[in-house]
Amino acid sequence: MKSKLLNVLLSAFGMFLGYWVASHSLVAKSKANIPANIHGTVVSAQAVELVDAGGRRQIVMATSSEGSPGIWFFDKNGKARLSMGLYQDNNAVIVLNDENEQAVQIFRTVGSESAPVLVMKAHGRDRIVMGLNSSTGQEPFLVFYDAQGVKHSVFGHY
Amino acid sequence: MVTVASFIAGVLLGRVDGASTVLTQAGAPNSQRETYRSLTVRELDVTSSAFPAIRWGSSAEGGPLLRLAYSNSGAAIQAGVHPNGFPFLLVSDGATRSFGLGRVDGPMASPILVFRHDDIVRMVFGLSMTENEQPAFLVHYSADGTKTDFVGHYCDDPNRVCTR
Repeated sequence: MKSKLLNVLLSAFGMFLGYWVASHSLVAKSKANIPANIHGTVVSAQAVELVDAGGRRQIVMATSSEGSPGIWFFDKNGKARLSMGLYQDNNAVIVLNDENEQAVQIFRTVGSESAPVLVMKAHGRDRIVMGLNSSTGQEPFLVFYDAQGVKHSVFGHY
Repeated sequence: MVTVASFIAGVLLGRVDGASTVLTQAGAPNSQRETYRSLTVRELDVTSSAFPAIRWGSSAEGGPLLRLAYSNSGAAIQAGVHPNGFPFLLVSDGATRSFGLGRVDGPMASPILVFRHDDIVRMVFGLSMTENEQPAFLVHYSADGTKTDFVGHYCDDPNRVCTR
């Protein structure tokens, strides 16, 4: 009875010791595999994440859920405050967000003719829209909306 | 004997368990091309003749920053987030900021667009930083500094204290 118990204890000890040795040697090896500096003509990755000294995410370069390329900049609360990339229809966009990740300024191209448009928002509503109108032969326009939502055209048509 | 067998079994188990933490590199690296499934870095430079033409990292004030620059001319595009959380995008000529797109400090975090020449503001466009309803404004300045409110009103006092 005593020798059976000893066998069990020795087995457990051996298993534990073996696991510990293997996992610690692997950790050391995997840490050694992460280079402090990567130098290459081309470095390819499906996603690149920039972190600060504390490991906090600062910038992410990756593809969106639609599969389009994008870059996201984060504030210290982890909110995306600036992004740039391509929409699924290949139009380009730069977006500045507020602290709730709500867009306040959008600079983008629109439609098949990629008309440039600048939109400024407050509380989720368009307040200024400026750009070239692709439906009127790329004519320039500038409109703004007052606090009651009434539209005012400075020039052009939108 | 039992202990040795268990030790070996433990080693094997540890290797199988630990292998999943090592698979961050998707392909074998070589000097020309290194391919990763995902890459986490503190700084990333794309160099051109040893000059960092594109730099990803932190600004001097601590926020995330992307900088695209041409040689040492000073001309650059910078995008990032200030420590107070306000995002910015700046396009600079060789000497000064000639164009800026960003947001300024203030409780309403209003979006604005600023055009400069020789580091002097010549046109500002956006939503009010001082009025609660955030009305639109567009102002421009002549060469002698005369201000013209083309749309709305812009408070250009550095403290954003204006009376109308």
